[in-house]
This record gives sequence, structure tokens and C-alpha cells, in this order.
Amino acid sequence: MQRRTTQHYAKGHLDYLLPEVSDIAKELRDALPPRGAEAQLDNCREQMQALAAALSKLSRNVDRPEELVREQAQIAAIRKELERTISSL
Amino acid sequence: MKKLLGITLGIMTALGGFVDLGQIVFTTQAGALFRYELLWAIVLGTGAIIVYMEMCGRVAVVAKEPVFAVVRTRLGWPLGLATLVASNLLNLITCAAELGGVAIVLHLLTGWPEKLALVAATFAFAGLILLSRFQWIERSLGLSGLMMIVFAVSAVVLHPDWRQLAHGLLPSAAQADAKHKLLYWYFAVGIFSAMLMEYEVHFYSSGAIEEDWTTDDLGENFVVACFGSVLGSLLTVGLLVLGALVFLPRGIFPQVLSTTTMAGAFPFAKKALVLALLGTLACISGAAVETALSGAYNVCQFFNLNWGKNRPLKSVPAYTATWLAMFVVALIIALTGVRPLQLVDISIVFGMVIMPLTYYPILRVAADKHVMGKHVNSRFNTILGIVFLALITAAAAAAIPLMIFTHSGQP
Repeated sequence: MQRRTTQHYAKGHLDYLLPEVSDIAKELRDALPPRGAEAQLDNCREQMQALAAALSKLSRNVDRPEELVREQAQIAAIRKELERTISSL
Repeated sequence: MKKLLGITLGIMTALGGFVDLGQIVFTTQAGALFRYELLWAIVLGTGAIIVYMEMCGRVAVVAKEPVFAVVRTRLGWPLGLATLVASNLLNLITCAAELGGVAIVLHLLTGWPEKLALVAATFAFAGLILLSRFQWIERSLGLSGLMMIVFAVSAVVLHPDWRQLAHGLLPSAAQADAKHKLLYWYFAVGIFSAMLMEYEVHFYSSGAIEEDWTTDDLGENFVVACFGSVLGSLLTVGLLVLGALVFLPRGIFPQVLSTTTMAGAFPFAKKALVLALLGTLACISGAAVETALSGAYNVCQFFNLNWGKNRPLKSVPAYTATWLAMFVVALIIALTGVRPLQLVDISIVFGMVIMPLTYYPILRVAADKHVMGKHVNSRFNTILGIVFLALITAAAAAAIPLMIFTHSGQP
């Protein structure tokens, strides 16, 4: 991120991503699980909340490369978990 | 030499002013979902816009009738008025979306608060229109839009599979299930509509009258309509390719403008990102100005009031008041916080719905020998015009049901 984008872009992009993720997290919170998929929906809810928290942290640490690397790893793990959950449906 | 320079400038201006927020978003999303499978919709849209643009320019020059004068005389007062209201509501929504897009790009470029950027940009556009002649507005915004070429360069640098791209020239029926089929057709109609946004053509044909074109300029009209649109559509293909190569393999559906602009600089570094942001800013600024002016042209041409950017303000009060009002109302809509991409969805779908109502009267006049004399449509032109009218009508009928069934294209 440091090499490819400007500071303004990085901060601004996160400003737009955060509400999108929050909206999806809210939709999932309000959604009724299909029969037999309760556990997966719970997991998705947890992961989306974790993603929103990670993006929020990222937004505060845009100018700290070591924090960015840590958050990047965490977001990659969330993504992997979400992909695993979705493929199990 | 002077003529050649004028034509080149005209083509470059058309190219730079071709892309707007709807095209940027819809095409990139289509690439992210369907790889190159919707390339044919871009090709079809390019053909339709060339035919429509050339006819509008020719009718404006020969019959001295801009689009909404033709709409009034050919559709009659009640249907004509309904078309005017629908068309201007659409211009208003599109203008609000473009202003919102400008504020987003300014926020990404400078870090300014979005609402401050929104108000500052609207005042800047109003100032530009008040202080500049038509040619300067058209060319400054059109030529700065050429920075969008960075998107096409990025697409080529990422080495698309040209053979697979060529397969996209034919519609595909290989969608996995009914949901994907509907999504596929929603994006096909969306791309077709985004290529055909009618404000661009109304602005262009009014410009032909603003710039005092004569029948000697019909060659330039033809060349600019053809080459400007073809080169502009190559930029759009670049956006589709970027969607396919940058987002699809990563399972990303680009739902925010900042994600889409990132694709324009993907293979490069910071400077390319700034260029991609500036190109996007220029294109959507041009669209914001064109939609506001197009609204004023439509009203004055329909009610036969004085209009013209190059005329003194006092002699065109209704024209000036209308474009100013367009900006004010669009600014208020944008300030409510509604997301520009939601507005774009609405403007693209409803743009297709009302398209036949302006396309049909223009086709009739362009094919009318009594009005057009020796500049009347050739038989080939008329057949092509009828084929595109049939396609536009089919797309118009399908647009709203597809929007409902796909929840505005949500994958």
C-alpha cells in the first residue's frame, strides 16, 4: 500500500470500504439463517465484525508500515475463513 | 491543414468526453463478474451511439433543429412534454451522481472532506460555465479526460488473453443458473445503456448549432461521431479487461469508485494512480457539466426559448436559470448523502427506458427527404437505425424487470 498508493488515497479508500463492510455486517446480523446453516451464518457474522474492526484499525495506522503488514495478515486470514465457510454451504 | 487539426481535436475531445461514472462502474463490474463475455454489449452500444450521434449532428446542421425541437414536432405536445420531464429528471439524477463522484475523487486526491469538495466542485463548474465559451468548456474537459488512457495502458500491460477477449464478441448462453443469467442480461443492458447516455448526444448536437456548423461540416460530424466513439469504446474495453484481470481472479466485486480507480494503476506505482484519479475526475466533471447544460438545452429547445452558451447571459435568461437550477438541485441531492453509485444504477436503467422516445423522432427526421433534402439517410443508414431502434426498445422493455430481479445487479 505504501508503494502503490498515496496517503490520501489509502485513507479515503478505507473511508469508503468501512461503511460497505458495516452494511454487510448489519445485513448478516438481521438475516434469518437457512435451515442447517446456522453455524455458518454465525461464523460469517463474526468474520464480518472482525473485518470491520481490522479496517477501522487499518484506517488509523495508514502511516505505520509495520502495523499495515500485521493487519494485512489478519485480513487475509479473515478472507480465507469466509471462503471456507461459503464453500461449505 | 486547419480542417484536419479541427477534426483531430474533435475526435480527441469526443474520446476524452466519452466515458462517465456509469461506464466506469458498470463495465468494470461486468468484467469482474463475467470476464470478457459482455464485450459484445460494448460493440453494440458503440454502433448505436455512432448512428444516433451522427444523425443528431446531421439533423441539427441541415434542419437547424436540435433534439428536443424534433421531439416536440414529431411526438406532439403531451408525449413530448412527458419525454422532456423524464429526460430532465434523468439528467438531474445523473448530474447528482457525477457531482458525488467528483467529490469522492477529490477526497481521494486531496483528503478534503467530501461535502466541502462537493460544494467547491459545483461552484467551480458553475464558474467555468459562466466565464467560458462553449468551445473552451467542451475542449478543456474533453481533452483532460484523455488521461483516462492510463486505464487502457494498464489493461494492455496486464496481457489479456486476446483470443478469449475475441470470444466475448458473441453473446454467451453458458451461465451457471437462472440468477447468473439474469445478472448477465442486467449487465448487458446496463453497458448498452451506459454507452448510449442521451445527454452526451443532446450536448453534442446542441454544440453543432453553438459552433455554427454548416453542411460543409457534415464530413467532420461523421468522422468525429465514428472515430471519437470507437476510440472512446476502446477505453471502455480497457475497463472491462481490468475488471476481468484485476478483480475476477481475486473474487472482488468493485462496489466503490475508489476500488475501480485503483485498477487503472494496478501494474504501476503512485504516479499512475494519481493519473488515473485525475483522468476519472476530468471525465466525471465533464459529465456533470454536460448533464446540467443538456437539461437547459432540452427545456429551451422544447419551449422554443432563446438558448446558447455563447450568447450574452441577459439574452438567454431561461437557459442560464435552468442549468444553474440543475446544479443547485443536483447538489442538494448529492448532499443528502445518497451514494453516487446508487444514483448511477437508476440513471442507467431509466435512461434506457426513455431512449426510444428521443431516438425514434430523430430517426424519422433524418430519413425525411422533405426536411433533409440531399442529406437524407441512405437506405443503409435507415435500416441500421431501425435495427438499433428495435434493440433499444427491447433493452428498454427488459431494463426495469432485470433491475428488480437482480436487486440492481447484486451478485
